[in-house]
Amino acid sequence: QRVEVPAEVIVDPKFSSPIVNMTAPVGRDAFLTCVVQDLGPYKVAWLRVDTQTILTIQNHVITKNQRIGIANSEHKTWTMRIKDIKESDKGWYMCQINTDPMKSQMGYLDVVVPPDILDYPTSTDMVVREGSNVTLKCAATGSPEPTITWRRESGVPIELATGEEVMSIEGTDLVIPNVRRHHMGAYLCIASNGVPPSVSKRITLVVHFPPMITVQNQLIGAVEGKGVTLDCESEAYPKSINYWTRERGEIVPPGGKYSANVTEIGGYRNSMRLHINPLTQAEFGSYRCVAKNSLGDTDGTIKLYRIPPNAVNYVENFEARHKGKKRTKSSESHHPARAQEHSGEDMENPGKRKADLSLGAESIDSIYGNSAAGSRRRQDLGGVLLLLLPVAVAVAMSLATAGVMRETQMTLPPQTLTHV
Amino acid sequence: MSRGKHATFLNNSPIKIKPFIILVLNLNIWCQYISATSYLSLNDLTNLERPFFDDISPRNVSAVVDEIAILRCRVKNKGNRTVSWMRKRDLHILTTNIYTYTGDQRFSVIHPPGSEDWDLKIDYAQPRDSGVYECQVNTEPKINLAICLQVIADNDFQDLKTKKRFYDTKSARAKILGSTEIHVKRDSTIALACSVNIHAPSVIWYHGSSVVDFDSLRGGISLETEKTDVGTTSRLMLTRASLRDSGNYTCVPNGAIPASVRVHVLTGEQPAAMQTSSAIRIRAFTAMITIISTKVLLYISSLMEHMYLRER
Repeated sequence: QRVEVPAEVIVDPKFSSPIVNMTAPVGRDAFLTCVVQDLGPYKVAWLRVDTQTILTIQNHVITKNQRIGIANSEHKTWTMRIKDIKESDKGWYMCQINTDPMKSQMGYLDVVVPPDILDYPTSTDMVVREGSNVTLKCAATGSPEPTITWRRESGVPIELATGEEVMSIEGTDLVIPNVRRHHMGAYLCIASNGVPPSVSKRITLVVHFPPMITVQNQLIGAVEGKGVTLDCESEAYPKSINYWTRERGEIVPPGGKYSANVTEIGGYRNSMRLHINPLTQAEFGSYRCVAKNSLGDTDGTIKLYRIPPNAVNYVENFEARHKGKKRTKSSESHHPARAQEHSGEDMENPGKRKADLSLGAESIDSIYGNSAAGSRRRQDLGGVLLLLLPVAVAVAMSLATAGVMRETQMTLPPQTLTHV
Repeated sequence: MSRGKHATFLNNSPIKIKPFIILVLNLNIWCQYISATSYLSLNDLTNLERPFFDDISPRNVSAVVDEIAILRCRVKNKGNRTVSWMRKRDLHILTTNIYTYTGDQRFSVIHPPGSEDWDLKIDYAQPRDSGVYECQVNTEPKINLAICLQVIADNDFQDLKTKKRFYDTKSARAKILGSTEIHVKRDSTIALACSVNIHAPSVIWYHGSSVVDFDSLRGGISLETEKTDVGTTSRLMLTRASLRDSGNYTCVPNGAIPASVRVHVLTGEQPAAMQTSSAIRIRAFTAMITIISTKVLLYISSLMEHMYLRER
């Protein structure tokens, strides 16, 4: 029933301003506001345009969607609120006034979604052999579509296929042809689309290669009675076992006048040092530094020769560098003329000691040592039996009751039940 | 000493407690049976029933200019939901339940109290009213029924009269006398009656989507039409009912809104109503076991507490 209102008082309502489009992330509350002037006896309604669903009429929420709410301020500002918005709420919404003809305007609700990296087909940590080709993949979802940026951890630059080095690169695939050992490390895939928070995933690239040894000084002269240090550098991944041997293959025994240590320089580089103090005739000769890992082994040779005390001023160290397996067979020709005369008098006595196997065993343990497995105690089940007793009794009684119930169903009159 | 007391109590408890337990179980059986049955009945009503459209009316409606157009929408299991009419062309809301929202007062809802009909009535239909209209129920997500309306100009009246069905200006309406759901036994006689509040030139009966044919092989069909001062009454009788006679019968008077009645022909076996109650009984039985088991557990735990208190 319509209330009679004087005709001259009723003014045709109109929209004061257009609906302001809104952008909101998933999970937040969204508001669309419809500003009406001179509403009078007319009514305002909100509809969802995509699905043509009536949402609200005046102050009543028509839809059963619990997330829809309506509020108005002096019948002028009609604000529809959507709580905890979902991606499916994206679309056009209509505000409608029931004039004849009907007036309406529409507003758009844009729902944005923060980026999320997909576990598939994004790459996981990779182990590759040096020289092969590697492609790191990264895929992400979000609204708008996120952009993917690759970066290396700790500010290390990324080497492109052209040899150029950049700090970051865009694209879902990061291609590294002919992987080298310096490509080893952690790569970050960063997905961002302007909606916080951005998200990143850490992918570790491990490059396996056999050991390589570099010898700085292949020929070292020393005075008898003093100390000397032999030095080698090795590169290997997985980490190698490093030790020293004499020319006949016997392992240099630790302790006594020999002191050997391995120092890690970088991620895959080590420095091997052998200190000999004091020197006697037995220590002069050839030494080998050996590196072994699961992919292979290699060694380097260092020649240690005796210098007469009075000839120190005339001797120079020859510097030579070479990679891989290489043995110096004509080292005698490098000696100066005077040194040759004296070396004839002091012949080397080969060491007759047997190789100490404990050195290798200790080295292996130190490299591959594991912490002792902790033993776990089990709780006794004594207390549980007491708890199970009432349950068992209850089950038995309920089964008996079920039997009684079946009899009851067959015979409807309650009089029969009294006999049970 | 305490162990001796404990053993003594256990020996005595069967004799003393047994009659009491039997009595309690007997009472529980009947109480739980009744409450479980009524509980499940209410539960079934709330859970299983969901609104749907009883789609028996035409999806395409034609009307003559300046006459009344009626778009039908019948909603089953409406509950507390809202039935709204909307014009698809511009998403204009027309009505909500029985209230008219649109400023165009030609639109209203015909909803006889207690019925499931929420028909949209358009007075003085105009050609611009042609288009798709939607009857919408506010379930989540919504369910809707789309009906296409075509308003034809007056000069096409003669052609329309001979080809299509149209409704009279007085909103003439057929009505089924008696119940709209009839159950008859096999080999008995089906008697259907329909009255309309105008002098209809003819009344046609439909069985499903086909016209009832008096000359068919079935035979045993008679139709009696009576015209009085207040209107027209038509009586359809079918003898020796068989299962094939089950279904929807529609009375279509010329120049009036049709009405329908549903006929169920029963065989000698149990009617459908009893099967429903037996289904409820099966569920009641399951619920009963659960409830009784819970009560027995509570009873035993209190019994245990009593034993411990007695020891102290």
